[in-house]
Amino acid sequence: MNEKILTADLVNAVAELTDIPKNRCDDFVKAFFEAIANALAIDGIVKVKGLGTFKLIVVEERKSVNVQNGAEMIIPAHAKVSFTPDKTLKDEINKPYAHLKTYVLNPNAPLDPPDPDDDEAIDDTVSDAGVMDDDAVAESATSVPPVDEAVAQAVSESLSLTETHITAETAKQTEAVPPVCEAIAQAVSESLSQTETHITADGVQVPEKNVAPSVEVPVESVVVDAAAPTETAAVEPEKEEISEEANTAKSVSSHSDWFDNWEVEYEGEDVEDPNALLADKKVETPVYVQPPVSVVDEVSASIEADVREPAVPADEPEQVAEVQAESEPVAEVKEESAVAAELEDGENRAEAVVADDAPACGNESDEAAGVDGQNEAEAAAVSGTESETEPVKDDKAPIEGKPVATEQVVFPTANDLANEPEEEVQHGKVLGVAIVTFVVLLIAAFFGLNHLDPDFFKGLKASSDNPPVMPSDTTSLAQELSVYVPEADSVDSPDASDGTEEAPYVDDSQSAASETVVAPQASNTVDPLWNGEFVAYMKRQHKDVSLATSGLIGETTIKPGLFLTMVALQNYGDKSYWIYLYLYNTDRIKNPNNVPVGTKIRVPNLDESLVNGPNEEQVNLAKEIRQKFAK
Amino acid sequence: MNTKDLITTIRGQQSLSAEEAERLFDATVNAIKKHLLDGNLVAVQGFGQFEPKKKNERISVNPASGERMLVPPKISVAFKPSTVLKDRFSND
Repeated sequence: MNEKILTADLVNAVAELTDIPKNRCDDFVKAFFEAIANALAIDGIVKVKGLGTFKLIVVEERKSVNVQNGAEMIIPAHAKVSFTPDKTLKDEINKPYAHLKTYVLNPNAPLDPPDPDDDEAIDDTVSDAGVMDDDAVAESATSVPPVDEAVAQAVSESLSLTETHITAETAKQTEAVPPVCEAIAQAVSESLSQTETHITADGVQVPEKNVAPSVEVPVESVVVDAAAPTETAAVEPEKEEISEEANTAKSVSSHSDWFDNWEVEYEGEDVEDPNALLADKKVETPVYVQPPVSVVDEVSASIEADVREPAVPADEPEQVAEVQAESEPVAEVKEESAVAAELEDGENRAEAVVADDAPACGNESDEAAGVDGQNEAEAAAVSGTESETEPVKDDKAPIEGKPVATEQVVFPTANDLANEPEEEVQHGKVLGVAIVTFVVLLIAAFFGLNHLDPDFFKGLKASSDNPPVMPSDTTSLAQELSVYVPEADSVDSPDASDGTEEAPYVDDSQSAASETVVAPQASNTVDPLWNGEFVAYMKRQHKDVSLATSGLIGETTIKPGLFLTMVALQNYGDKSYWIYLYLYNTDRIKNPNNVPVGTKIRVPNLDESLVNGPNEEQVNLAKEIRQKFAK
Repeated sequence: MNTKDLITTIRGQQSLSAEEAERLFDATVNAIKKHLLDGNLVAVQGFGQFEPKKKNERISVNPASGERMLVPPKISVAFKPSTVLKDRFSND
């Protein structure tokens, strides 16, 4: 990184690549650049495949002022060499940021705090939603712009399902949920601090990066994903975010089913059914994790009892950070969920899970692969986390009996307890090693990420500064849904009918615009091709001006050197009238200051009250309108 | 002038087979690309230097619609011609 490669190094590299003697490579490289320079001098432009285009730009002499003494001077004519990298080169170089997309900011949002980046926003919403509860998940779906409405609906439906099924838990959760992410974060950090100084350090870090609030979030979303392993696999990542959400939706529903079946299965299987049962168990373990606050309490309690447990929570924040950081958090999320689940469940389920680890890991990694199609390594890490949890459980099982039992009353844990100790002991050593490696991996990943894209965490912070608004109950969710849908429509399809072109205006003005279109002024018939806003404005401000058009003068195709002003001058007698051409062709012209060559524009026959040669009144009106509508 | 002309010109100056010239050309371009991908600055004496530069994210405004957009950060290649090269064109 950041070395200076000189010609000699370049020659060496070429020689390595070609197996041609160095002196000949040297000759060639020198001749190569010399030829480019010569060609530039002759042709003024050189295209080099795979590298880019060099262009000679002649700058004419111009006057300037010496900044120090104010003396006038003349900058002589000179040449500049511009270089435009080849598309392939550009793409390859930009690979680290290739996944980022331009994000249209909400026009109503205040200017100061820049909205978070696309991915980040989605991450945030997802994660926050996780914190909130099932409802929140649905909300996240709604608040994320690119999501399909169908998905959102599916989410809400599945939510309702889950609610009915899980009522018992949800009740608990909902009570716990209201305290927002921060509260949770605090609780977490507090509990952590109680356990060990180590942990505290982590806890402190968490708030900084806003990781803490999300800690639990991932848990839930994770839960969702975990819950629907088969389905997840089926779902192909179209967009990562979408798939994630889709997963959540599906998983939510599946989750509920699982919940129903859970008790039965749980009792039926002991530690012995590894594969399918394990998958099920894991899926469900996260379920328990869901009550965030209560979980925290549990965690803290258990932590106090056990010194070892801290290791697990300590990992959590980091993982969370990663989860947020990367747009494909699912794998990690799972890790967290697994960890959290184990923490919450305390010893009971964890043991069961642990016993099954090997197969379970397989399942999870599969899931991860299916969902993300990405971090397989992390999937592996997931298994690591699981293994970590095991030792903790081993200790606890003998020591604690079951403190957690109170909350877990819902689930039969007694069976597991009996089975746990033996198998866990066996895994102990292996698990220890796995834990260490996992932690190292995590840290490496964290720093690697930070190094690759230092802005990322800044972005995270920014995004956390103005977190997405989240309604707290289902009804509001529904409202949000309904709100979201029309907005999307208006933005996506600037309808030709009223010609409303710009998304930002849609909210306020569309209603007005459509009104005017539907019920035009009594006296004038308004051409529907006019920009809707313009029509509304004219109706408000200049009722005496007729917007009637009597057919087209013709259609003009924009050519190089032909601007709207020229067209207006030719047809209307003054160039100021170009604004009307724009407003009449808003469906074809996106940016009036840059009309692409080849654009066909309609030239309407306009009323005299609007366009009347160089008449001052009309020209001034045109200027006023230009200031209003062409920024 | 394009790549083909360039190679032809070079072959006119040196005794190179077409295949060899092709290989050398690809290797040269790939070597530059590789170094740029590694984040290195490639300086060619008498010609100029290529440098990968990170452009920060920014908010841009569509002047026509007033739409504000967050443009993500990106890495691009900047080329700075050497003074030798510049003078060569300016003095002509």
